[in-house]
Amino acid sequence: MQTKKTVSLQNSFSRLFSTFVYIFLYAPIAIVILFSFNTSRRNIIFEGFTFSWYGEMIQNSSLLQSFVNTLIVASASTAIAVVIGTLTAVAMFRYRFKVKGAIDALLYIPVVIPEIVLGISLLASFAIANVPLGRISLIIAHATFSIPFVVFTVRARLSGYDRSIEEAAMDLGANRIQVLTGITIPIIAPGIISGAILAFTLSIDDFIISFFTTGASSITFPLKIMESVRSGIRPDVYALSSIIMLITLIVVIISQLSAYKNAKKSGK
Amino acid sequence: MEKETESIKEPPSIAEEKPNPIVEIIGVDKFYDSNHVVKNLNMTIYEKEFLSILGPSGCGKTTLLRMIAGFEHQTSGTITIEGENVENKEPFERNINTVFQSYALFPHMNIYDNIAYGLRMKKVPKNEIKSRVDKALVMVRLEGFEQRYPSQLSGGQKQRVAIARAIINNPRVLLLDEPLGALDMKLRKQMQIELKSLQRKLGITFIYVTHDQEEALTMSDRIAVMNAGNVDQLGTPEEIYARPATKFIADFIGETNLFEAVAEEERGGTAYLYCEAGDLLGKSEGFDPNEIVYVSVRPEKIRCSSQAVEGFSLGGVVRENIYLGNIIKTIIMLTNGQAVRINTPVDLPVPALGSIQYIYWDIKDSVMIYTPSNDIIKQIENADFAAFAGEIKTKEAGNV
Ligand SMILES: Nc1ncnc2c1ncn2[C@@H]1O[C@H](COP(=O)(O)OP(=O)(O)O)[C@@H](O)[C@H]1O
Ligand SMILES: [Mg+2]
Repeated sequence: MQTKKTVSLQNSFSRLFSTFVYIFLYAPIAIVILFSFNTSRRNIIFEGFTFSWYGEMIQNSSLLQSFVNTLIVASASTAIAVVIGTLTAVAMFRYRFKVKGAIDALLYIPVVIPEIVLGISLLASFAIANVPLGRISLIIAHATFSIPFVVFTVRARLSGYDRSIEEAAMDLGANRIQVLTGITIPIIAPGIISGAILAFTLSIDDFIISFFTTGASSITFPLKIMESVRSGIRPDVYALSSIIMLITLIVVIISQLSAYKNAKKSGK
Repeated sequence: MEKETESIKEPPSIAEEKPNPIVEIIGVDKFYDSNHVVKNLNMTIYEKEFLSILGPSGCGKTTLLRMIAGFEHQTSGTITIEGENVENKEPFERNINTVFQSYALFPHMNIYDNIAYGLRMKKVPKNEIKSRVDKALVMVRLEGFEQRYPSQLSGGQKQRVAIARAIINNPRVLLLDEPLGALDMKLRKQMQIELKSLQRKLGITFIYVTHDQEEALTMSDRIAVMNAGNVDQLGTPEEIYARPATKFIADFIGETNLFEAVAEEERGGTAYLYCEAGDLLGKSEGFDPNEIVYVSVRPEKIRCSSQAVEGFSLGGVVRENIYLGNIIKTIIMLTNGQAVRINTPVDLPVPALGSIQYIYWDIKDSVMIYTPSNDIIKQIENADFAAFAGEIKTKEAGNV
């Protein structure tokens, strides 16, 4: 039996605890945003407020270039991963074949394998296949580690999917392609979208695999930051990081809102 | 409501003209690995008829329906639709539509788009789609629901959408797999009436799968009773109820009392039989002496008296009188432990609890059922073993 007093004590303790967790999670982020407005070049003390780093960031062409490169690589690898991953998930859901169990298990390996091992293996593979290191090899590498995540999210969505819906469509005169484009894909779209978001974020902040699989012609944003650490990070990097965070926040809010709207629409 | 059901049942729509076969199932077998689910099945379904496929769960009804629709392929045998072998026809190439037990509505489309789907696939012009969807919505009484999503509808409404979505394509045959299975009793009765009148109005052949015998009896022109992959009997509801072909059907359709009896003699159209609990009479249909038959008598056809009636000596104790609204069900335990069920209208007297009663019936109300095991016994008894042995010997001699 619990008295009122112990309950309220527990309540205030859990409140304190969760406050602490949130501070722990968000304080570093707040610091980065804060120092992007710092007049001082060094980031130990806050001296005054300025927007000048944002101006410098725009002028820092190599920084911006790396960022643009990151976006290109992330978009391309996400597109590849979404197409291959979705088709794989649908095929695995729909058809019974003998080696399904083995393929299933094989999908987990790229996920659990240390990134550094995957990076080295990809590097070796590119060397053997004579693929020059650059943007193309980077896109292939990122698609490789993203595919399993898309398969997982799409398959999770499919797990509650009633096959007779597809049969009903076919019964009403839809051929296989029409069933796929008009029924299956729209229904599993939330799974595809979350897989795409996952693939995109994984690609944007990947460092280790990119480090092995790209050349000097195709530097990504994380690689650029790593490079600049040696000479001390300048606040314009903070400025760009802050902007990335803002964009991420907006994307998250939009996707949450549309998920909420969808849920309302279908009454769930 | 009762009255309406009766009037719907009366004239079977196929009787009006000479029936044309629309679906023919010829020697169809279906195996799932080594599981023999449908066994050498033959059946002809006629234009405009309401045919029910009735059987217990797991007997292969859905599999049969899915083979007709084209979702499943028979292991051997032929299915023809409108005289054409559909062996190589995909589901979307068959002029047949299905109403699924799980409704299978498209969750991401509103009701209008769900119903319009089939017409869109056929590239019907937009304004024609609109008018046909509107008509279908009126037919299933769902006007004003166009913009709703399937998850916002009740089970009965979803079922109506599924039906509208199928019939809007004017199929020649509509397949329905336990379409009312998920609905509650009252809604079910109402939908049975609606479906039946819809079928008559549209003149579409319905192949209707159900495991509910009452549903099959009230709605069908003909019933195919399935058991373990076979069609045991195919006939009108009246035929199947009054003259079940097997013990299984007698037991499955309606309620009945089965007496396992031995035929002693026949005289003047009456069979004199005996069972464990005593003597009984049945309809004489020419059996061999000492043949085992099952005598099936419906609960409403059994009567009882305190004195044994000529030809019967089935005595027992009245164990229960159960009030069931319009009837009282009396349970009498016979001397061999068999419980006999008797239904009496509430306005007639029933025997007192605990009293000793003798049961009897009019012999025309009894149904004689021969079981396959009888045939086997007969074959063994009639087999000419001497000739058989001789045949083996001559064969062996030939081989040497
Ligand atoms: N896709 C399948 N794979 C293997 N066995 C199946 C499959 N579908 C049905 N069966 C089996 O076939 C038998 C008949 O099933 P079904 O046609 O669904 O029966 P019903 O509809 O009469 O309940 C059952 O024993 C079932 O387990
Ligand atoms: Mg079934």
